[in-house]
Amino acid sequence: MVDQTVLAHLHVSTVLQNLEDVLNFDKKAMEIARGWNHVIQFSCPGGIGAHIEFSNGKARHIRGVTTLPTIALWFPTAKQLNNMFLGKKFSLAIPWMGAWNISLLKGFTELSKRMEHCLKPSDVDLKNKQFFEFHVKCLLNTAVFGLKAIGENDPKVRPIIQKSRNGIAEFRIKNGPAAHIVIKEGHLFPFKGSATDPDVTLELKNYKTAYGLFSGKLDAMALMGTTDLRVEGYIPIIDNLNAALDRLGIYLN
Amino acid sequence: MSAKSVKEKTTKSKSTTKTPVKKTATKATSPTRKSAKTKSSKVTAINKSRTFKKSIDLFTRATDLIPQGIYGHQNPAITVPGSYPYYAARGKGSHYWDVDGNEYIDYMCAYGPMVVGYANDKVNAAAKKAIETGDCFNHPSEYMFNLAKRVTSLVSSADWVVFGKNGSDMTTWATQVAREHTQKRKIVMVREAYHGSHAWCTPGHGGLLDEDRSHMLYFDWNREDQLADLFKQHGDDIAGVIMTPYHHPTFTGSVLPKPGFWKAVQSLCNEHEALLIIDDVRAGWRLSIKGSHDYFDFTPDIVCFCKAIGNGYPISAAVGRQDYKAAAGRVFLTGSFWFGSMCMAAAMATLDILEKEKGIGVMMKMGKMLNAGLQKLGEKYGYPMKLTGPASIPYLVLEDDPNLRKSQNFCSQVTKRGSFFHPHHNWFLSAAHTKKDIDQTLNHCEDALKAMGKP
Repeated sequence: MVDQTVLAHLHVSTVLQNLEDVLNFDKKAMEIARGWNHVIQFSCPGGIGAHIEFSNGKARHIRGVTTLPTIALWFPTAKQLNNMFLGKKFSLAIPWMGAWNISLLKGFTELSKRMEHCLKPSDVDLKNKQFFEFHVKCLLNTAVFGLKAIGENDPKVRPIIQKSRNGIAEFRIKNGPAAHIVIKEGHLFPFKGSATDPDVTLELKNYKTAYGLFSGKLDAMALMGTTDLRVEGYIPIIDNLNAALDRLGIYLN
Repeated sequence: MSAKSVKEKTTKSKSTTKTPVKKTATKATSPTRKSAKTKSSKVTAINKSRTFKKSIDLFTRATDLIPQGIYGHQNPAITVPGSYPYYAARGKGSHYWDVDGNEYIDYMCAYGPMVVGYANDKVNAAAKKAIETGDCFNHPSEYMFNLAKRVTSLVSSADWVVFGKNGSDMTTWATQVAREHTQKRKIVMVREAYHGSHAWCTPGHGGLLDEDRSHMLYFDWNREDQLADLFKQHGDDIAGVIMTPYHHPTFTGSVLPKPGFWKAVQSLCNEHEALLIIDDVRAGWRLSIKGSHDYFDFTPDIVCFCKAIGNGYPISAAVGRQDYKAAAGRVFLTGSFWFGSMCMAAAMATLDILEKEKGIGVMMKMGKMLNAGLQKLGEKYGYPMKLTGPASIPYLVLEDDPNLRKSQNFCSQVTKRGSFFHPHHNWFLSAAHTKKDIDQTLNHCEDALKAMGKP
């Protein structure tokens, strides 16, 4: 029971944000975007949209639409937007602005492939320690940013988040990257990096454990028992977010 | 009149009219507590060599075979994993031992079922006697009638009784009886209350449909005005109101009914011809032998019991008033093992001990002693704390602890020293707890507070 609207939120607000990190890590991606000074926007009805600002070889993901993107890809339905992200045929985008910039569109397609390479790597790629750790970092960020898309839009999860206490939950890999999410009045605000004073912290023992958890191969409750995952602080916040994480797996798998 | 004064009033009236504390304490030191007395000397004040290696190893292997390793309320995640045992090996009286050989003075009592001591000789003897002649037959045994007679004579306002195996069996069935009797659809419950693991009330998220709760309505504890509003809006369609006798959510302190609350709830239910169902699964047999509604002085229509009724043998019960007996008969109720005699025999023995040895008075006295000691130690070491809820089912609250970190630290430190304190769930006292247990636990607490250092 995948809601296409929720999935579209996930694609534009969660999957796309990984471009920021991909452009900092993947040399081929850096090469593609070298010299870009553009804004590419994705949107569909229902207030779903995000844009990526490319500048000086970096990318910045911003939720919502902007007034003057270089290219604006508008999809008549959430399903069509999702089809584009899922690489399915017949995904019809209407480039209502910047359609003439064929080379940028082509470049972005190549960049998307690099992102896909980082997010859905082969087993061979994962044997490379540096790549593996980067991939896990992307999974961590996808999980935390995905919480917003699911928690605010999924009809089953939204009521749970709406009744959640305000607070900050931090997700981190021991001696590794972190991300956190602020819960305020039923809304979720994800951020990369550590939180200053989290109400609850969820710490994964290492990258391998994090990979197992975020790829759905390991169970969070079991990991807590083995102390590979430590939760400290106000546990009900994590319990509420867990409802969103469970759904995230359903949507992205 | 404050909630506190209500508690004091009710406690006082019960202790004078029903459970004379001095007499109870003397009587209850034998025979239920003999074993605890002899074993307790083995508990050292601090056992720094405590490890949970076997627990964690067993759990790790179990995760391959069992979803989550251990599921439900006994999943280690709800404690402080790594600082608590996961598997029990044996128990006696108020003590138990984990698979690593660590001994604990227990304040969870199997999350409630243990009420007269682990491996209680009298209860086990009664159960053994029953199974020696067979347990599960084509028919119930005479034990069923005898237990029915016993329960209905003990519990106030109980004209009939049915038996099941779990609390959820009874709470779900009770809501069906309410619907059958009233021919209405909606059930009202208090937010954050726990009534079991069935779809209409589970705190879990998975496997649910919107339809599962499409006829549930919610209000906040102690807010009879909200309940009145619900009756205004849905009064002609509310079949019943299901509530615990006082509010005992997890992760936060227990809340007693404010003065007049129960009378108001009862009155609203009567006015709108909705059944008042009491979920006494957790508190039952720890506040009053007549039921927790008797302790709080109101009259429900149906009361559900489980946990403590069989001292760990799996049995639950629901009692009701005569008016609802016909509807009860029309709601199908059964289970493969629900008529077995072993658990009914165990329940008979448990209720006998609780009544004859004034077990509830003992629990109350021990709980009060623990509370007083904890408060004193908390003040001394700069960690003000108190036990909320009734003395026999306390919930620990540390002051200035919004994210529960102090509580997690304190409870795990105490548990490591040999007294099992849960950081997020209410505790349970039993008739097997002794003054020596409490003293020893307070020693563990003092050592834990010293180890925690200044706040």
